[in-house]
Amino acid sequence: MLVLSRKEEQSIIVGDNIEIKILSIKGDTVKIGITAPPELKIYRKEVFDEIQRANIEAMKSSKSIKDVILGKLGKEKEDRDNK
Amino acid sequence: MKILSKHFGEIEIQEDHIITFPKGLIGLEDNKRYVLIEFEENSMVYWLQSIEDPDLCFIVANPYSFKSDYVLDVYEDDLKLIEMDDEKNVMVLVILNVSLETKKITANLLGPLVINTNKNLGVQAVSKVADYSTRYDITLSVGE
Repeated sequence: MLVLSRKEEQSIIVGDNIEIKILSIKGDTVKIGITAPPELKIYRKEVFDEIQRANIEAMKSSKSIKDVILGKLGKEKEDRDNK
Repeated sequence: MKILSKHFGEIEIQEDHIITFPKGLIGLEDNKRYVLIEFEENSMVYWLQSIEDPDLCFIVANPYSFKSDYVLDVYEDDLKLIEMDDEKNVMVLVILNVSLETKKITANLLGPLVINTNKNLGVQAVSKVADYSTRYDITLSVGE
């Protein structure tokens, strides 16, 4: 991993068209500005981790989801039949 | 062709219905080929079954069926991956989950599945809408 030290208002250039700028440092939070082509995917790593976690969980619980949905369907059918 | 599914055992599918996710799903990159099976007729809910791994199966839904103002705002790279050229070939699905305590069904609005129905190519995109959750509470009404 390349490690660089930067101060507020200083930047790092990546490739031909990406600039990463340190906008401010307050306490334990660094505000970063990124200028990059719009097609480039940029997101917080937590977002990726969260989707990954949600996928695994959804995969494991497909049977429970099925039961809940079918339960609802059954109840709706019951309601309709009772009308 | 015949495949093994998680909930229906061996099933017959048409090969031209196979959807290829060139990058797999997020965290499940090894499995790239899936098939959509309708949950109930016209329910807007489907099984997304891997044709390579019987255990790999999701329940997915059309987000507009429960959130009519859902915004699909994703990166161009993801759309390029599925060779998206015409809006009318877009199918958007979100993966459903369930909270075991409340038995409430939630939907992952943050990582929508975007499918090019013309080319049978799909991608799990990352929504640019930052306040979308992976656990959006839905009141599911299916089969209506």
